[in-house]
Amino acid sequence: MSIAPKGNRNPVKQFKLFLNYFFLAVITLIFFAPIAYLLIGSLKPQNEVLSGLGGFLPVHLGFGNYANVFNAFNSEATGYFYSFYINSIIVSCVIVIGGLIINSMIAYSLARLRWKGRNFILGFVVLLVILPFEAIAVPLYDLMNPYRNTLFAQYIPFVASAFSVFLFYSFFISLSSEIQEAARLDGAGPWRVFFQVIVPMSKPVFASVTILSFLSAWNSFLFPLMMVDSPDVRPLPLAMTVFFQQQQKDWGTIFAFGVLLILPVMIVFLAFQRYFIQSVASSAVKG
Amino acid sequence: MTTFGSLRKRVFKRRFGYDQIAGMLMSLPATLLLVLFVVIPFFTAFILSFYNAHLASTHTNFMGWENYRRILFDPETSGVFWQSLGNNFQFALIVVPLQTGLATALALLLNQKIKGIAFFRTFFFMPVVFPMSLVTVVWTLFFSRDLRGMFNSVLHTISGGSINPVDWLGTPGLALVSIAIMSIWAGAGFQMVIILAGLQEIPLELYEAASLDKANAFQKFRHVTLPGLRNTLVFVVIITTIFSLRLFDQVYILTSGGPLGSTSTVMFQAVTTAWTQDNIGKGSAMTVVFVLIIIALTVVQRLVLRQEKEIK
Amino acid sequence: MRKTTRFIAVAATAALAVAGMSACASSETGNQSITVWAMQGQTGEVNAAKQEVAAFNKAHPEIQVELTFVPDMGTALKTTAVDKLPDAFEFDGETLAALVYNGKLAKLNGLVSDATFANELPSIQAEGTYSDGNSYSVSQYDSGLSLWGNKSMLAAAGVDVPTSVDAAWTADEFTAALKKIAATTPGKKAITFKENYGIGGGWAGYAFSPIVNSAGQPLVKNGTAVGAMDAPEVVSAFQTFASWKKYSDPDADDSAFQTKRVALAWIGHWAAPAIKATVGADAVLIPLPNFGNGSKSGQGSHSWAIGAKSSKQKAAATFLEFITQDAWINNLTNQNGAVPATVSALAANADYAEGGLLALYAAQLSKSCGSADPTADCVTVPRTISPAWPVINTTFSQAVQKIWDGADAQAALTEAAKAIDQDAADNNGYKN
Repeated sequence: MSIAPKGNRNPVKQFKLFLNYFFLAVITLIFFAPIAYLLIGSLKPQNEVLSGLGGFLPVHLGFGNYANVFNAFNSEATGYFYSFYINSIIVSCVIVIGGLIINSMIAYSLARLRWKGRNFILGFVVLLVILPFEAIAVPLYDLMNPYRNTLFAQYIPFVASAFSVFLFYSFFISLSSEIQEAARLDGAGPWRVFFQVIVPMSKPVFASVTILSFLSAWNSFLFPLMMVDSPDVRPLPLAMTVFFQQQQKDWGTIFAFGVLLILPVMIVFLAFQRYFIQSVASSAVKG
Repeated sequence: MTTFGSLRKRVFKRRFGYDQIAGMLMSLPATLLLVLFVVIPFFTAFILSFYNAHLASTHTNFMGWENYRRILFDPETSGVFWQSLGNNFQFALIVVPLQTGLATALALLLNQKIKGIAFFRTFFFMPVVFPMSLVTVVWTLFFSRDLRGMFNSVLHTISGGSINPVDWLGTPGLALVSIAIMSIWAGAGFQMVIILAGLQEIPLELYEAASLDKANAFQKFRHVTLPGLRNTLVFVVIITTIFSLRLFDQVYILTSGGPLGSTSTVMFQAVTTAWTQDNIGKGSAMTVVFVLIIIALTVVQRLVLRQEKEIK
Repeated sequence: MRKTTRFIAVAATAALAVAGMSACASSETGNQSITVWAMQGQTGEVNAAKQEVAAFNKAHPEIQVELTFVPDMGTALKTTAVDKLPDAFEFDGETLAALVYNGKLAKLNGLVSDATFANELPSIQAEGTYSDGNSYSVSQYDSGLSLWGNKSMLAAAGVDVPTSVDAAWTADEFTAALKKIAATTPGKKAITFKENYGIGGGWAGYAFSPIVNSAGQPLVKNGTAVGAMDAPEVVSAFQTFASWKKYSDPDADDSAFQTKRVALAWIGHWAAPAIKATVGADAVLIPLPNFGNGSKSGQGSHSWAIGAKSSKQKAAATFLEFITQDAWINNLTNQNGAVPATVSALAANADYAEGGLLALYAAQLSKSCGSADPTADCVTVPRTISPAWPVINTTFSQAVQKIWDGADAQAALTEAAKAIDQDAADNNGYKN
């Protein structure tokens, strides 16, 4: 009854609109279900999380699980929870900011400058894009082992990223060359053209590389697992895995840790989601 | 007085000389770091693949091609690698079409001028920002093989109790599909936004022209949307293929390659052989073989796509 | 940004240098600080370690312990170079031989007093002794592995409960018991094998290798796995084992037994505190089933060692002597439910005396098979004391997982045995 046409609207159109919203709502429900499960579970007592559909029931909620997380990491010997946050933030920021500078520079030189060796370097970067990190994890561990238990070892190998270079390159090559040509005819050198003309024109690709490299840095797990024992430099995802192994399936507490892990990313995402999605799309589609 | 032509020449000459130095300098930092942290480790892996070597130990001996022989040809030990490689392709065959199809459908649904689209888009994209380690922890509980697992509970409720609990991750043949479903949930939003952007670049006039020709919705999709999306879809397919061949995290956390090796992948074997079993030589050899396979695939893919372009 | 990067690197180096200088300065004044790594286990263990260290620092003002909890000690010890190891550290006793083989542990003979060694349980002495005859570790506790039963649920199913090793169920009796229990339990499951620990991830190496021993074989006999691990009697035992899967609760919430969904649990001592708190007076220890060669069980747990290149081995040994005193052992085992590792502490503990709740653990450990091949008379078998153990463990565990998932037992075990033998050959028999 509620979908009955109102006023002079076309009933077929009205029904189509209803169907559209219906599908959108169902799919949203499916996409959001695991996330809702995580949020609700993090507030529930341990034995009520894994209970089929009952896991979604928002009953017996409380912040006890969150207290457990903080209490498990509250001394010098176990490390402090806040320091895991700081470690993850430092590592991610160095990777993102350092990466933006050096990866965009090389991408520009490959896309827009003519120099000997360019094709060689370009081929080399393309080859590295498809090389999975796992393939080099163990030798990389060997190389970095003198620096184990440092933040340095956690960021320095990841500042340069072939994938970021590839994204920048695809964007730069799609930019119209007219403005640059004009700037160069005015006597501007490649450095000035890059920093004063190209960079301001390329906000979308900078935004999407920032997002993608931040996500992968914030979530990195395998390499810290190999390189870090000390709680002083332990990043958040590793701390969660540690916790996961120790707590032997105290799901409520593990979920609470998960929520704390994702919280900063979620806040940033919800605040900037519009720009976020547009920038990822607009830079990737050029590729 | 100089003519415009000679000015141009001089500028270009200067520019070329200048480009050489600037080009090298600009690419230097990234190249240096990539060589140090990607190329050198990979060559180290290549060298290690000829040794019996361990992480912890100085007891190392040269084995020649033995690791490769065992991985690829020895009838008693090569089964794992071939099975894993097969799983990799099987996973790609499930994920690439399903995920691309789903992402396209979602993008079409979102590419409408109705209210609240941004709201729905936010939710469809949300899983992308979740780390895989966290996703798998949550999905572990979805896949639990008793009635307290989410999927079994849902099936049980819907069927009024007539469907018995399914062992999602413990049944060969089903486990890889379960992992694929989870991966599609986690990744579809990413492909969706790329395709959405592709859709928005298709000129509206084409649709208007099609309407004038009295094309129905399907014909519009077939003759306007799909050709317009071609480049985007090619990009999405290539990226998804590469990512699905790299499959590691989900397997490592959820199934450890089981049951009966049905979810084992080459990257999983390479990492666990090198790291968990402390056999770096053999793990490295697997890595080298796998990277060669990926390179070969990429070259083939490029040739095929180039050919299509030429035909066009 | 490159500048920032370099700045952070320089700053880190400088900080390290300062730390190094201050460490030197303190040793000159006669006071020393030693670094100690402890495993970041369950809450009770973490608390106990903190208490021990605080007490030690008070009792020995001349030695200050700097304690760090390490979550994944196996990886940390494997990957840390010997000259960077801490002075003393806790580790999983099963990795002792591999650590000695790679030159990471100091001999404790002479550093730790003979009286301390003499007071250790025989099972612990066996676990800490490498093939060169020297001792490399001391322990605060040993492990107990058996079945926990819920008396009321077992009685309701009409199942009689054996409580001594000699009276253990045969495999057939055990199968029959599982069937009866499943029939009378609402969820139609009878037991948890703690599948949630990950059978293939090493749980089988501890929990299910007693099946091999009870069938009459060691995992590796005279350095060879083929003919031992895949002997016909072992294959048949694992076929029986796989047939139990239909009675097994997957236990994804780690509390199937505690919440009374099942009447039996195949589990180690660490569950004892939780089981006491939930199942209470209904809880009873039951020996593992007998596959022909007598009921067998596992032994060995966390141990303590001193870094081979530590310059403060004496001080580190003082710390190890301190924490292996009965008072500190009791403080720890009261919190984690483990078996005290000294003869005197075990004797003084009523739980392990005749009729005590945990008496079965003590009875089993008193009949350690040591490093010899298991006979019908002994009960607890240490994990193979060989540098090859990490390989034996993962390979065997994966084979058990495959069998559990439905693979042919003969094929899976033979494949594993061959892989273990090939690894031994590649490493020249792990001779030093």
